[in-house]
Amino acid sequence: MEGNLAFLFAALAIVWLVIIGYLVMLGSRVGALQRELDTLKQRDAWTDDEADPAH
Amino acid sequence: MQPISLPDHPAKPVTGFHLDPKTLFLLGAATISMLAALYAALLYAPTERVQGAVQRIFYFHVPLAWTSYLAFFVVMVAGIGYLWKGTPFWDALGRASAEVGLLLTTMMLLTGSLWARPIWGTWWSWDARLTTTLLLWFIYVGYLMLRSSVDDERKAARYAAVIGIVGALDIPIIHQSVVWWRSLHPESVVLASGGPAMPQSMQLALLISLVAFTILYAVLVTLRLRIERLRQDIRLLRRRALERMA
Repeated sequence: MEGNLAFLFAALAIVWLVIIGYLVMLGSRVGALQRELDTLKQRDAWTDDEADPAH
Repeated sequence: MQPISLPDHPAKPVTGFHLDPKTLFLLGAATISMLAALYAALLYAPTERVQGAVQRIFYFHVPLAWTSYLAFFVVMVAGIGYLWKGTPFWDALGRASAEVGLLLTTMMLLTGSLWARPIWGTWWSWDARLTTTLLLWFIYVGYLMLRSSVDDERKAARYAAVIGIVGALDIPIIHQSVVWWRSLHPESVVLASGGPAMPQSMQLALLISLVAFTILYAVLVTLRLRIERLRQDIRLLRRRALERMA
């Protein structure tokens, strides 16, 4: 039965590594999209100012 | 021309790991509960007499199964919501939950296989429970492939909503498969008639793990949903820019 420990730890390693990896991936995707959105918003506001100088 | 009006959520300042305080709180709760689940599974729960230490995979395998069913149930509800209301929120929720559900199902299949090898003597068996679970996995791979292959967003959302609703019908079949057909996979020990067929310490360890994985599911869907909403806002701004150029 002691040999079975390898299967238990393999299962645990898969669960934790996949979860941590997915969390890191989600975090970086949120960051990248947020930056892209901020850039687009700035460009959008700049275009508004250019189209309407009185604004 | 008026400045574009976007919802508040994407404009919130981001922290070092690009998470808002609410999500950080959820992430903290998930981390603590997952560590508690690890302690309960490895140290608190007693060693099963017949299977030995490898039986402790149970405390991860069963919560993974529960959360994957929950994820696909949410996909079904989101699909119904989208077909009924047609609002982007339901579509985003369905997509987020489908991706998280697929990840959880993959881990459920892998941990099950690692448990089966020393106990059944095989990594895989084409029995009813395993086959219907694999079918569920393929349904949601198809769901996500459809989402990325159809260019028309509304059409893709409608097709995906239908797949999400039909796919969820596999969940009760998976659950009942061990009752309806002869199977290597054991029947449910938690939902057994006459109460859970295991000691209280095992029940408590399982309960802690179920709570932990449910919180984890909530965190993952919250983050994934945020990505969908950011994408929707980016599409809106790009469309507006194109309209200006035209």
